[in-house]
Amino acid sequence: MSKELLKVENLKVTYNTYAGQVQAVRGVSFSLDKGETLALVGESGCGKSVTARSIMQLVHEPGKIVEGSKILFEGKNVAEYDQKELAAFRGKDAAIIFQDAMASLNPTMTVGKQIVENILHHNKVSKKEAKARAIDLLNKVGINNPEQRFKQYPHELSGGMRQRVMIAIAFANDPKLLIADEPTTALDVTIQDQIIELIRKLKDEHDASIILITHDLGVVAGIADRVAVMYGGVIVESGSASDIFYHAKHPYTKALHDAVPRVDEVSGKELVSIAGAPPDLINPPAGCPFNTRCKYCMNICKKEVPPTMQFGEGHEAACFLHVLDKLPKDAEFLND
Amino acid sequence: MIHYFFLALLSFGVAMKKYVLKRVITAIFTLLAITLILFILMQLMPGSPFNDEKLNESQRAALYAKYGLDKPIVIQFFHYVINMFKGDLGVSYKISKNTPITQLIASRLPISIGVGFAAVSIGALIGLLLGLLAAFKRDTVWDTLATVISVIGVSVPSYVFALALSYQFGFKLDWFPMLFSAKDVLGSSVLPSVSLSMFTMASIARFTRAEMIEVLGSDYMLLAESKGLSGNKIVFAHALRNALIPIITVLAPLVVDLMTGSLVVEKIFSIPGVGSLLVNAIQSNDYNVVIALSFIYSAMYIGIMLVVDILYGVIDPRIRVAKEGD
Repeated sequence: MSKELLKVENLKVTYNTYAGQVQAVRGVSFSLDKGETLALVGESGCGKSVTARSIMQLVHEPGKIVEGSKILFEGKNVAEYDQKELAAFRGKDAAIIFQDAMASLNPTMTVGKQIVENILHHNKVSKKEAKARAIDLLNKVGINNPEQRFKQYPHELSGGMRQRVMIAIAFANDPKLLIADEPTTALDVTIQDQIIELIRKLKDEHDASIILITHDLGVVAGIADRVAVMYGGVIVESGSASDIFYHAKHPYTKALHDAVPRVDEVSGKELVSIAGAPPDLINPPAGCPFNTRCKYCMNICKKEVPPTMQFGEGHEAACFLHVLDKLPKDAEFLND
Repeated sequence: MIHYFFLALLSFGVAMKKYVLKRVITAIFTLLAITLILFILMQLMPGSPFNDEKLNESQRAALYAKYGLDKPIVIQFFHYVINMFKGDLGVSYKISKNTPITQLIASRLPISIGVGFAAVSIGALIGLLLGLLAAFKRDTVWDTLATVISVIGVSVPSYVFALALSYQFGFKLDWFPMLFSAKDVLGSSVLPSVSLSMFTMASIARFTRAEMIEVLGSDYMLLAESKGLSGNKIVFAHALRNALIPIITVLAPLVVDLMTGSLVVEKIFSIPGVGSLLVNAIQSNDYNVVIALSFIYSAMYIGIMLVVDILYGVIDPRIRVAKEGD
């Protein structure tokens, strides 16, 4: 159970734009065990989707995975795969679900064909067998009348059904790794629950590991074993779901919690948000990326990158608040 | 494409047949309206087909009476429409006296359509390939080359190409005949077709490039790639069809433009097509010829638009459903 499936080491991704080079991901490291569900959490533009796409080698021009980044899948570096290895890896070993199913399914191809295509690419089976398997998959993801749906086009399905089709495509070849990039963001709340439940059920049936990307902590709570919180292209805190929910150490993680509206709170209270905007990743700030918005920001936070501190097993956070005792005595420590 | 078309008609079933029927009926009324407008415009035009100074008043009146031009315009219109349904487009008054228009056009229209069709085919095919090349080799020398060719194709008029090609390949190299001849229709159509195809080629190339780049950047291409598909498989299965939808829209009017003949290119290669016939007819007030040709142009336009609409349905399932619900 605890065998490592994926290990990402020092992943850096840059995008060349007219305005300059955007450092979308600035040295992300994490690992994922077999059967584990890891949630990558963070607000828009923090680099979580780019991290996900990098694992599948789906970063295209003007984006570039910086040399030296390691994505070890079962010990082999995906970044060094040749075309053939990549064609076998994508869709078979690892599958991805995108946020917007309407845009991600080809509008001019029947949903059945889009599933069959994935089966045929990775298996030596007849078209008839592939079709039978696709219909079986549609059934499994909870689509009624799978024979009829098989022949339909994406626009003829509802949003929830389209997302179910994407899930069927993803699980077509028993992937070891499933990357779900905001799978529920485009759906309404009741459907969100069903989709998360479906992903969890299929994950258990297929014995897959999941990287779930989301900005919704509610979604995380239902499914994740471990959580990594990303901010400004780096992971600022990671740990087990309970570590992150009940013992958060990083001010950003705490701020995220505060921003979740609570059902038991008095209504009419203003919603809490994190003041300020995420950092400009063309010129990332020196020191801690969160220093511009942090309530506890100190002088040192603007100068040096905080070290990663350990808190119990597997719980880490990069913040100077927790290194007080390790600081040199003459450090300019407090706010001016 | 053609077999797709018939396949579509069969597969679309009752709803589609209904739709086509509806469109055909609308087209008939549109054409009637166009004919009426043409009649009125002809009447408003200065001069008449019988401007010859040697004719005196009574002779002219006799001619008017002979051809029924002395009657009120509404009567003339009804006569014309009734005859038209019988397949009679009247006779020429001036260009080729008393020759039935059908006969006059029958010999010329196929030539124009033939040359035009060849031009569209060449232009669309090469344009498509050029556009795809530019899109796939984006921001490379190939892209620049394709852009340069496109800009030249769009901005240089077809008769300049006609003259240049005629000089180079007709006169200097003597590969193809410089003038059109009925004996060697295929060989002598090459130069005019190529010169006429340049604009189509350039327009299609530019459009294909833009469309393809958009499609290649779409989420569904990313999903297709995430299945492990790559190269030709992705392009043919996922990209091409989606890029084709808007390209067909641009192609349709170009097809009609070319099939109805081009005056200048027809003059340069002395092609006996309808382009020069129309200009002659307008200059000499040959009413029936002008009306007949304009009518045929309109009919072709409407016909091709109908084909394009049905093709949309074949290529894009989203449009197909909308129509079936209609």
